[in-house]
Amino acid sequence: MAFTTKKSLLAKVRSGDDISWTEFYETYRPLIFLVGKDCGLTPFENEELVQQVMSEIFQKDILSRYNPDEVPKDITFTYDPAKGRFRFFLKAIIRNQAFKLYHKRTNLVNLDDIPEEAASEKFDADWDEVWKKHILTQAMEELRSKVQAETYSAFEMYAVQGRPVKDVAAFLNLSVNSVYVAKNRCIATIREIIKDLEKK
Amino acid sequence: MKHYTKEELECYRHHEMSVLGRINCSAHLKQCPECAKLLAELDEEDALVAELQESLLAFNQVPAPPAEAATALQRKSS
Repeated sequence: MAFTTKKSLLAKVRSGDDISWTEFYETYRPLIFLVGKDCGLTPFENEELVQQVMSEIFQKDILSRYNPDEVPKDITFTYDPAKGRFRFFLKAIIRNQAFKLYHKRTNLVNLDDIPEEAASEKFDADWDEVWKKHILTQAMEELRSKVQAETYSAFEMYAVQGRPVKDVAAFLNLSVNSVYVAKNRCIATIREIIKDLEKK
Repeated sequence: MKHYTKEELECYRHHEMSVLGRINCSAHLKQCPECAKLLAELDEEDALVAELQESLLAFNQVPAPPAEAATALQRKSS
């Protein structure tokens, strides 16, 4: 399953919407943090990584124009907003900044000295995994606005938190069957959300 | 042939049916590919839910940002 970016948010940020910048920060900060963690960075370095990546995106206006000079040479792709390639930019920027932090930590000169966690294949695999988690988390957030509060609560309590169906039904004053209906509706909606993201 | 709904099959796989209901459903599933497919779909959904749980757990463990971090960034960028 290919996971893509919330393009509407990027469009709003591109138009200079301040609130959307905050949303952008809140949306992508955990992703950057988790990628940094997988790269073996310390929590302190991870905060620095978030700041550096965000700064680069803000200051170099990455979202409104594509600057090939900022992308590592070993990553080849063509940025096409219509095809939702923002994640490749982000990946390249995070990896670049993580290398810089390693360099700062140990004064590494040679790329061969980069820790195993940041090596290309490992980084790619970790990135894909974190990106997938990011999209699922976003889908769950979007689900909240697409179904009724009671349906969302039933799904969250029963499926996500793993509480016994009878407890959830009693707590929400629903029948067991209704909890199952809510679960099935939410699963179908989440799949639609992810499918929709894939189209963008 | 009367087909089972997804919700009824949820009850079946979670042992929430009466003994007689369970026997009937089990017999039906053996001869109804449609309902058997629906049951298999529920198992697939379990996998999606597990991924969802894992994702939320991972993202919820990310510590909160240092105070004013986002604002500081915005100031820096403007």
